[in-house]
Amino acid sequence: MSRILFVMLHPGFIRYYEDAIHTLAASGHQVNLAFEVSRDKLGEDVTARRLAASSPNIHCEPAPQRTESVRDFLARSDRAAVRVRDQQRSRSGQDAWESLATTVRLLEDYLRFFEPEFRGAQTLRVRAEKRLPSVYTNVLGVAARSTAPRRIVCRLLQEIEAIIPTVDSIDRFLRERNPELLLVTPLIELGSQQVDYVKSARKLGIRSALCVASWDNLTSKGLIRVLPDEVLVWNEAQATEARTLHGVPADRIVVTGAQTFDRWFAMRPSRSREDFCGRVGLDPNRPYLLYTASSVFIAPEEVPFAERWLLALRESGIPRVAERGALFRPHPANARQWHAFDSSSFPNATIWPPVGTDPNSPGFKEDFFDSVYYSDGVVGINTSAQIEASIVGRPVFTVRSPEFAHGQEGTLHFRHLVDERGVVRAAASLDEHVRQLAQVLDGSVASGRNDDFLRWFVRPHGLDVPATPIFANAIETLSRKPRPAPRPDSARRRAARVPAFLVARAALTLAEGRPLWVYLVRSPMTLAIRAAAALYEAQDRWTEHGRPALRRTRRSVWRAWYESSQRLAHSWRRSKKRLIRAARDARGTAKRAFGLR
Amino acid sequence: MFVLRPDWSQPARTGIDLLAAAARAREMGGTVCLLPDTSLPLRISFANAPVIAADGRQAAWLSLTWRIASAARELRAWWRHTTTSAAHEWRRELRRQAADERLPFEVRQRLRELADATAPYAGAEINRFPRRLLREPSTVSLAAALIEQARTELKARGITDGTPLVTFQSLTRPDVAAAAIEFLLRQGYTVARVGDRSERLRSYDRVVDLTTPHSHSPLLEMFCVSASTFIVCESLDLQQLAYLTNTPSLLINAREPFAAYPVRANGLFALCTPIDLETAQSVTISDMLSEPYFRDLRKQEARGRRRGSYGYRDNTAEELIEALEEMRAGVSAGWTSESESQSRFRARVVDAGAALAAVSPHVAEWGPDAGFIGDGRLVRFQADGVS
Repeated sequence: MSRILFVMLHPGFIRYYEDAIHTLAASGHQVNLAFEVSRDKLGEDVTARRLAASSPNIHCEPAPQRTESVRDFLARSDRAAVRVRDQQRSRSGQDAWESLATTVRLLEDYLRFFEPEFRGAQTLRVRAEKRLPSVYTNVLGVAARSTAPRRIVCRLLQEIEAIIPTVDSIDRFLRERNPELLLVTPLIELGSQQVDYVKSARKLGIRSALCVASWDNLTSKGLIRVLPDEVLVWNEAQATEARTLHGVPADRIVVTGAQTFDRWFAMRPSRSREDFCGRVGLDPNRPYLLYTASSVFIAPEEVPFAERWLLALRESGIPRVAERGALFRPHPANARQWHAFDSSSFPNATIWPPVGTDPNSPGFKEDFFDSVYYSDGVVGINTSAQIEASIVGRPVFTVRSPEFAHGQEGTLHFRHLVDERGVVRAAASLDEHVRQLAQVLDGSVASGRNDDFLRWFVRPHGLDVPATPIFANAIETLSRKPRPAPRPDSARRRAARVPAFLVARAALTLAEGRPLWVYLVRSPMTLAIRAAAALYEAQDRWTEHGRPALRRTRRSVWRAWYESSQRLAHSWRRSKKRLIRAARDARGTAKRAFGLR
Repeated sequence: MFVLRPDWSQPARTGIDLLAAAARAREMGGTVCLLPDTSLPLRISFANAPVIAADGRQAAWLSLTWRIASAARELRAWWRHTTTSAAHEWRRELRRQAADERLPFEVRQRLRELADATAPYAGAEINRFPRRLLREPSTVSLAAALIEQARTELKARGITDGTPLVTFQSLTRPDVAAAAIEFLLRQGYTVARVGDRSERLRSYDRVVDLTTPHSHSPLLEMFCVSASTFIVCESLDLQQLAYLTNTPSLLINAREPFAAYPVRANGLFALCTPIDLETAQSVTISDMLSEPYFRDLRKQEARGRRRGSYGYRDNTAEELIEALEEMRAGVSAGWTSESESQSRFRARVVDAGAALAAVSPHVAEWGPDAGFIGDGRLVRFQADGVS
């Protein structure tokens, strides 16, 4: 049986692969999950512990410690994220290489949003731009608007990426785990450091694969900068995106279907409609519509729109629309804003689950399924819940609104929902939306399950063929393939690292995002401050030690001089006395001798 | 002489500049000279401040002077921005150096003191809202041809001269807007709806919708505001435009009391209900005068987002109707019946403004101007509820 190492950004990605991991473990494969970032915002740590406890073949552990990067790319977008053992890091040459790596990757991600496909995706570009120090964007923002300079810069960045060495700790980690297959997800985060795992795997001769986690991954985030051996995607649409937007060769792409939605095909309601409506606070005798809220990027301020939506329904003058109840389902990662929704001012309208409910709590998924199952239709701005509703067979709607243009027309994945193969009925205004609802609810327009969409987007191998076993089979097949030959760095690339290290040091310095003059001033300023500090220390030492020593010496000399002079004076006085006495004695003797008395 | 070139693409800003220039001219015994504006040729006159319209060679000379002064002002602004930014970076760099633990404590302490000494230069310049200068009303009139054009357009929509008119900016919830409009119609007013958002609203007689793109016109909007008995608005821009035409205003759904506080006695405002998104508790009006509330507003501004720690609930229909009743009473009785609680609230806003100006640039910009916040008032039902 194979050893499979699955590197995830954080445990939140387990939910996309939980069933597949169970299947692989049940088949006897050793599945090691390594998380780059620990996160407990939505109880992800609980999921990881639960998964590890479910089978002896599943192990969860933190990924190797990384040195600091340009900036902690997650900390800028997700303040709940903490890099694993970040506080223990020590600064070294590795810092510079990691800075350069993140800078290069962020630049590549930024430049991709200048491509013609992203013409309307201004907000995506701004999001990428915000993570880069302005010194780069000031220069590249102009150059990137023309195709030729942009391509040249991209090519240069790819060359630099190839020169950047692998990370020792990751090499060591992969050697120790020695997996037959390395899986990574999501890999395409802006400035992602997971690229280093793919690079190390290539160097060590370990087969690697990217598992595309969600439907927006290939279009709204960064690039696959270093190609893994395989890319596992949901459907042909993603396969096309992987080929055209990321340059993945067709023979490296495996279409498995969306394994994350499998349970939606099998689920049944967990309680009766009366019980459900009674629990959430809706009138069980009236049908209701489900409003599924979107993520914070798509809809940062959704409550006012939801209120207007409900009012448009209530004041539509169409009884079958106006009299319907409304159930609002906050997005688990964007739920807080729903505290401002005043459900008391709208009869037969409620929020469920309550804001702050743990998405890992028992019954959470069942609640969601029941919400969709018992509804007459599902409305949302742009969310995967619309796909889930289409699996259950509920008609799905959206309203194009200027305040959400960045998250609707400004994203490529929204088009999957609303284009000719899409499943969502899009309206240009609330009036049109109400008309669409009326038509569907009175049965004048077909409202059954859109099997064509599901066959195209969710289960490309057949509606009755679950994606999880196909995904697990694909993983097994990859893990059984012979190992690719190790691809160590060429001598040319190793030689290029010497000058590249200077660039890496510069990248580390520029990562602070300060104006250029600050870096110019810094060295002389540091020198001046160090000189001042040395002077201060010298003065301090002089005050503390030198001056007292001098004083002591002076005092000793003075004392020596004084004492010696005193001794001399004393000796002189004694000698003088002795002389006087001797003279006196001599005089007396002479007088006596000459008989002068 | 104060030379101005009105830019009616930004009517609120232009209106404030005009009023401020007139007030200064009045104080200094000068005159206001308006350079011709081709987009909207308004004829403006101010009480006690002569206005002259430049033409011919004088206009050319004044225009040149204005352009030079304008360029100099832009240069000064650029220079101020550059020096502020440099001071800010210098301060950061000093603090960064001060964090070096290898340096002796006294040297680090000295570096911190130096960094703190640059702090006054590192803050962005604040253009204080000139409340005192806006206190005195002015008279503004459109050119005769424009008045005729606006009249004809409004007449075609059913508004004739002498009709009691209320301009209503409907950014609020459609049900609340409908309740307010129905109330106004019952009182005999004709309502002109203005604003950028055209919400679905049932149609009424005597309601003119100027929100649709083909009927949106700055001229009509301005004419409506000037001809209205009072306006109901949610944006500061419209409230400030009402200062120019001296139209009584009711600002609703205000998110904080400083920017919203009306300068003139014929102004009222109503605060919305902020909700603390951590605790789901509503924030009291007293708490809206506290530092944490403005710290959050500042964070939102700094991050360029609307989302912060607070969500907002609009004024309810009942609140709005109560405010409209107070507005009607004020218009008919001449704004003399200010309650004790309203006066007390004004004093609290002034005190809070003085305390918060040092820590909140927003309050420094919009707060009291030399102790004067405005002669307007918070709606009575809210002022009575302030502890």
